[in-house]
Amino acid sequence: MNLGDILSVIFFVTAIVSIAFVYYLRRFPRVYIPDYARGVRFIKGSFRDVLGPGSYQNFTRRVQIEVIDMRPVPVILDRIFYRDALQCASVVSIGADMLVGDPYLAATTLKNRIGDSLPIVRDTLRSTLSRGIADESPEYRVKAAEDLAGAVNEELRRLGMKISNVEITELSSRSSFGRAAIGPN
Amino acid sequence: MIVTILCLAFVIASVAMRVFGGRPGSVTLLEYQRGILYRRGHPVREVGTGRHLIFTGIERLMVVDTRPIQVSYEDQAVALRDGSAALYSVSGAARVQDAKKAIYSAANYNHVPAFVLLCSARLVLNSSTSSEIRAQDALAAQIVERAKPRLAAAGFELLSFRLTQMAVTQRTFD
Repeated sequence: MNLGDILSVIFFVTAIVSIAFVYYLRRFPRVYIPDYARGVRFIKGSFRDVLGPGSYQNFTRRVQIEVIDMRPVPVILDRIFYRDALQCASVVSIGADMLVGDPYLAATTLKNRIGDSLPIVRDTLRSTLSRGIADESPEYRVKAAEDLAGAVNEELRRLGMKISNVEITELSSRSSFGRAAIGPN
Repeated sequence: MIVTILCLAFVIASVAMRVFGGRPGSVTLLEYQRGILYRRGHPVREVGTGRHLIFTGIERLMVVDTRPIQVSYEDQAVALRDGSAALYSVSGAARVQDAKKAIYSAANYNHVPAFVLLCSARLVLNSSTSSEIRAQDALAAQIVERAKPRLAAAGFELLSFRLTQMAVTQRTFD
């Protein structure tokens, strides 16, 4: 067998293996992670690492990558009624951006990341604001928004979520209008 | 023998390209679409209408629709500064002006105009009294003044905004 025959055999074997490999790869779609997302990689079902931006080709079924979008989701919580520290009926509405803080926790603790976080935000909002006296001044709004963001982020941290750019778009309290004009609380 | 070696090199190169670079593909953007070309996960440049060749493995084209996004919300309630409650409806339209900013503004950029307009409207109305809200045009101008810079920061241009309904209904806590 001369060198030419050996090369021919190598060529045919390589060609067949290559074609088979390419067809094999078609079963594993490439995972593309843009810079506004992260990939949570699981190997044999166990967490391995968090992937940054790039393009990832899986070679086996043992590897699964879940892409987590880190961009903010604007949320509006409308007209939440509560009683402040003076037991005055008050109403508040907020607008905020909700986003993923920890991709691994967000992927493994929440099925619906935004929908499941909103009740926590609503409860925390009520409990935080009901500790203070509702005041419609701009300064109070800013301070309440900061307090609220801090308290909500404390609660959401264990779920891998967070909120930012909290803006109190509506705040009204019966105490602000004068009890005499409206009647007893 | 040389032909065999060349064929071998071609096969190996094809497989390597498939594994590391994907395969060549094309994306056609319509006249109302803009795209941001991403390479290895990072934005490279903005592309306009036409056919664009990309390597599907390492490149991705994120397409943004620049047609106007309509916003319409009916019967929203808000507490006014004097303790009354008002019922209002808003309608408006905005479109993407900066595709890159729009992509990063939210997970779904189509929600941004509604979010900004609703927040701005509620904020302005909440700081108004029942006598002030009769001047609907002035209120709409205030809302537009608040919303425009926020939309511009998110890559949008505000095309129109109207308060389509405004009525004082009752006291907020009755």
